[in-house]
Amino acid sequence: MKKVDVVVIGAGPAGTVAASYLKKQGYDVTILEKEKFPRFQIGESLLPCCMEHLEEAGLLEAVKARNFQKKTGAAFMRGEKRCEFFFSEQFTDGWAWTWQVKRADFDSTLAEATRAKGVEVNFECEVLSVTCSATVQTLEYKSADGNIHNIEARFIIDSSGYGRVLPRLFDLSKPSSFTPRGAIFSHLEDINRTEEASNNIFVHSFDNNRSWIWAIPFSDGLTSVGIVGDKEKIIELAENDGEQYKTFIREFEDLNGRFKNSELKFEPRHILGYSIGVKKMFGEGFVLSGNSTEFLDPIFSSGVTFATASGLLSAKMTQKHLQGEIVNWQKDYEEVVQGGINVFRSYVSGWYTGDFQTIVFAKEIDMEIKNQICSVLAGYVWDQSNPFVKKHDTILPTLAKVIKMKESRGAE
Amino acid sequence: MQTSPGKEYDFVIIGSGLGGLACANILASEGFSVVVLEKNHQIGGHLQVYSRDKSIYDTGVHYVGSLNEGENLFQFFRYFGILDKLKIKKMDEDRFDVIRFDDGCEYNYAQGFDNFKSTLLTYFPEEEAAIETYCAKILEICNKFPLYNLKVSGEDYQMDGDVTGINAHDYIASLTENIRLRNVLAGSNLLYAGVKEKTPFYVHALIMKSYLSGAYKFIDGGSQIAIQMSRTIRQHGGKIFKHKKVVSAHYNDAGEITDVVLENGETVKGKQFISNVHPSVTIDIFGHERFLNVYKNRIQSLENSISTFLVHVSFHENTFEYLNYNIYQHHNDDVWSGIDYEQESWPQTYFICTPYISRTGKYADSMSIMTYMNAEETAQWSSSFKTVAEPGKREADYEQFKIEKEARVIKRLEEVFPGISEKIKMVHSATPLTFRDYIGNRDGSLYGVMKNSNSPARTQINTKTRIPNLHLTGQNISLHGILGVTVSAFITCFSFVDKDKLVQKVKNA
Repeated sequence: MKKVDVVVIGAGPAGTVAASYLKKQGYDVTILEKEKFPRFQIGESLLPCCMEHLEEAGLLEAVKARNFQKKTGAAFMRGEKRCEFFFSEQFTDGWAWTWQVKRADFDSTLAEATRAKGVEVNFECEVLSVTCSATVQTLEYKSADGNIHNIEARFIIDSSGYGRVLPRLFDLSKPSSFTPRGAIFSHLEDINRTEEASNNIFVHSFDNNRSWIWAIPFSDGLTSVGIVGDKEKIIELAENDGEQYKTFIREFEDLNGRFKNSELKFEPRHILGYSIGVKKMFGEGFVLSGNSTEFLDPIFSSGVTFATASGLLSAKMTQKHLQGEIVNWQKDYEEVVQGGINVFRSYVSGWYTGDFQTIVFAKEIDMEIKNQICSVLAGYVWDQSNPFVKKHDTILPTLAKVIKMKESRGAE
Repeated sequence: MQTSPGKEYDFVIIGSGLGGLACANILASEGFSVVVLEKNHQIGGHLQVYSRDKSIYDTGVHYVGSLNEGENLFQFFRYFGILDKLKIKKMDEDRFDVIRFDDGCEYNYAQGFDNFKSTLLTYFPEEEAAIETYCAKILEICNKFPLYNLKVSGEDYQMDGDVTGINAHDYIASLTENIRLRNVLAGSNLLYAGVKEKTPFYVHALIMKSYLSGAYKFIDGGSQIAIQMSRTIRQHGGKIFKHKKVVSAHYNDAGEITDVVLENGETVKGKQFISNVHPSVTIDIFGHERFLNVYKNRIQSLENSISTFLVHVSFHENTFEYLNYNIYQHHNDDVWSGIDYEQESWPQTYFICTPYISRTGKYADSMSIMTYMNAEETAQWSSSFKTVAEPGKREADYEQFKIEKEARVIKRLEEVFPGISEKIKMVHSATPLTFRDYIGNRDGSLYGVMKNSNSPARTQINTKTRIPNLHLTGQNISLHGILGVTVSAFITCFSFVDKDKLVQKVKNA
């Protein structure tokens, strides 16, 4: 049976970051990826914080060479209101830009770069069963030709994302407390792209903060356009090949006809009830990283950044483990990852209650507050010196209340 | 009133011209929290550069003085922590400036007082007494400005004694009957937009002394001062934000500013506020009702120095050799008359320099020609506004105006450098409107409020205002120019930092 140091399940951002990092430290790493790359994926807008992870994993240069669309900020809109964040103006000392990517290209780039480092990347390999123990882990998987193989590893990192390999096999999934929502999306021609709209993701909030549209421009002139809303609404929009979706994005007032006559590059696709959690993120012989831990909501584009952050941290912890150190997985891994997720959870909740919008669309906003929020939106959710990280659970409702009071007083 | 959790800075500085940056540098290194708000896409005010077709052009700073070891600006820059990082090139020792006249006669300014004197004596051997007296007077006057000598003495840092009433033209005329010598001594008066009846001699003296004490060019552009200053400010924990145009302010019941409001609705809280914006515009921003009428009337009636028409030409590769000196060309018999020009004979006076670009070395990449222009000439287009940060459009006839004026300048240039037109690849220019929009004053004035030897006190602007926590800095306080503005920043900061200790730090730097 083939023996390696580490098997990584999944060749997405979390898996490739983890694998590249460990390879750099001299470990023998194999990736088992169920799909054949390139493959479509959503989560197209990155956050600046993930640049650090890509850099540390040695993957940044390979991505740079692809000249993806640079992203320097994010704009939020609601009717006439508009609030634009620029990552160059953030509280935390960090990256001022990142990319917007077609994930098919981005993920392939990462996988190829990881392979170039000497990691064995096996596509179309579906993990069927896993046996874990303190020292030896065995995996059974089916390769593209239908043959069954076994591989033995000292440790497993599960970066299988929506595939949720170990959470399914070990029954680790936990339902999310969020309202079930869905998203429907396609890639469109964007000939009416305005100069100011050319770079960054645009988010339009509507339907009393319950729904929103993303517009994520790519470097090839196409733009990803998606609608997020309650499950029922998305099902409705998706009926008859997304007929209502198409009408909506062509007619929606706040888009000012940007996609009026745009051609769709593929029929709209949709996903439903994507929010999910886990009971625990590690166990004897394995750790979960990326979306196989918890996925909240696409609103703040946090998916890839969590993938790379947890991928990198899981790799670092794995290295310690392989060196024979006792790793406190609970404190040094799960609580760290969960801490970041919890910050974003507060912002996702704040988005759907409208507190976030109350703050960013206020007539006046303290620049320093805006810069602190900007750092959260840039993915720097582990910077405890930022009050909008440290007090994430209370600060949005409190501040929104103050603003509402002030503005109603001003209106009198 | 519930307070929102946003940060309150110790100092909010409006404008990132050298004055704002210097204040930020001083205060941040003293441990205060500082934020600089700049409306443009580029920091630096008059230190801004722009590029066209791969060439870099300075807009305000073409050369700088007082950079010999131990001289005042050398010490100031060392204190700021930027001296070692600046890429500078010393200009020719024996001619850093050339005063050139219509008859083709050229007079070199040499660096260092002794060298300067002996060079002048070769042109005017019979004028030794006048030249000696002139140099001695410059030193005497400059000695009365303690900060320029890194000294702290007396209460009034801006002006000392009766020196401010001496008129530059009159004083120089009193030294000699030799008209040419008078013209040569005042030949670089474009440096301060000299006006015969008004410019005080101390302005002339401070600037002359500065250049005689070490004249240098900035390699690859003067914006490096702003860039290096911003790095040091950030190292000290200070923040600088671009695209932040301050439009108004909020006040508490005591009449103190609590926060400033930006054009995009953001607000910035602070304990103290320093405006590096022209005083008139500062009044507009902070609210006319907050200032006494008498102050407002004085400030707003102060005459600004003239604006400029700045032509930049780029050369075909390796066609025009780099000049390690500047030329002040005068086409008329009186160097003080070029500022009060007639349309037909414009431009009569202009400054020529070739920036030193490391890439092209021995050959000049470009040339800047700077001449006077009244803001009235571009007034008809004054309702338009255009910067990179705020793109706009001006009319085609404005472009036509520029092209015509450029042609006039190039025609003049041919008289100085016959055949130069062949070597020119591209021409572009900046007008009073360009300066207005990028600098944020009302008329594109080059050097701000015009100093006047007839009523020196009237043109003096205090760093303190009637608003208890609003202070002023910049070229209108002490003097314009790199040195003048740096000195002004120190004067502004004396309100917050012990001046003796601060000056000592500069000396020990």
